[in-house]
Amino acid sequence: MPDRADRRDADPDPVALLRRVADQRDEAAFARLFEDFAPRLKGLFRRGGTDNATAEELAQEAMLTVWRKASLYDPVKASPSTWIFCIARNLRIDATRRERRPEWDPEDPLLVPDHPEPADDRLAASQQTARLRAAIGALSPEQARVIELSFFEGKAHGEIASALGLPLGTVKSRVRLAVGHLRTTLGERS
Amino acid sequence: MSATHHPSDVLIAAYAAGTLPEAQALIVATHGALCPLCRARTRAFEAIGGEVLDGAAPLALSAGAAERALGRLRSAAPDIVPPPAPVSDLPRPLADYVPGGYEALRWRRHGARIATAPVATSRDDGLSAFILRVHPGSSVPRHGHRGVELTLVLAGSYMDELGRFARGDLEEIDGNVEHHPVAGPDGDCICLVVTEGKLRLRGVLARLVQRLTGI
Repeated sequence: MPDRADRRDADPDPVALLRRVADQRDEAAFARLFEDFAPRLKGLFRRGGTDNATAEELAQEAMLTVWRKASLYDPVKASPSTWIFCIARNLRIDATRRERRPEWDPEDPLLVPDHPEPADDRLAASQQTARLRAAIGALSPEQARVIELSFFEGKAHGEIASALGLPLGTVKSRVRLAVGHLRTTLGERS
Repeated sequence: MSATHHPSDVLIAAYAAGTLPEAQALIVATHGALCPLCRARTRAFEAIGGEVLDGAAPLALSAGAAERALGRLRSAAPDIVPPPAPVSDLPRPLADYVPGGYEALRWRRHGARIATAPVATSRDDGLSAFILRVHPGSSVPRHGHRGVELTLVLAGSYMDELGRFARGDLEEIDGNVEHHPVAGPDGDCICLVVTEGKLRLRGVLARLVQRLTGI
């Protein structure tokens, strides 16, 4: 049996690590994911305005959810970072707003099923990430700031307006412009 | 049959970011259950969140955090199995909020042809969510809104100045736009509606209806 260090170095791809957690309940793979993601999750929660202890607890909680839900991860639908972002986002909604997060259920018999995906769409996922990164980099500083405040800090438009000392209408039009720019990138796929 | 009217990019992006109030998130997610296109749009915007997480400045956890997490998961309860979907005629997540189906709701009549029933969310955040049921061919009085009004068709159909809306379609109307929806002939038109603030009805009769009903 290979020792932990060997396996860690041999297989750092988070998709493969998640699969090992899902299929083999592999603690070494989990430890590696923890090392990669927990500090950034803590940074994300801290930026969202939670205190240090709560941010740490939420990061731990997010990683435990990663362990428990690993078998639901679908690499065709999301990158590991995106999937883990969604886990963190839902924890944040629950912890800071005391609200439920309404979501559709892939197993719901009433769900209108996905159209079959063309095979080349699957190949496009990594290109998609690269394009998206470039598009975020190309936003004006004002637009980047509103996107950051939404996705990073979980702020609604009204909260962004008070944080930046701007009228709500200005924030809404910045969001609309930023989303419009990113949309061009995201929409090129279909 | 696929939906033809969809939430705006801004609404989908806010749902993906997790910043929508619960009632609006509920209507966007229920539309998503009926619309593969908007599920894909949501995933695309969630990828922005993935990028943000990738770029987040790491903050060291206290010493031994990874070991403590491993300890917790060794001693923890069994893995999360998603709860079985409730047997319902309503798509999730709406079924979770209306567990007994339409008939179990507290219906309030507004005349012979229109009824509404509130849908409760976790807390009062100034939004109101309700199911609206309109007899075939009947109209909802012309009205404007103080804020955004979102309407998702669950059964039947309606027409207004902006088009025809059938099951799965979501209409997003801004505060300064007035519209006058008329239910189609194809059975009761049943919608989930989420409004910011109260509706403003036009016309003497409409104002009377509003005074009597409080919609």
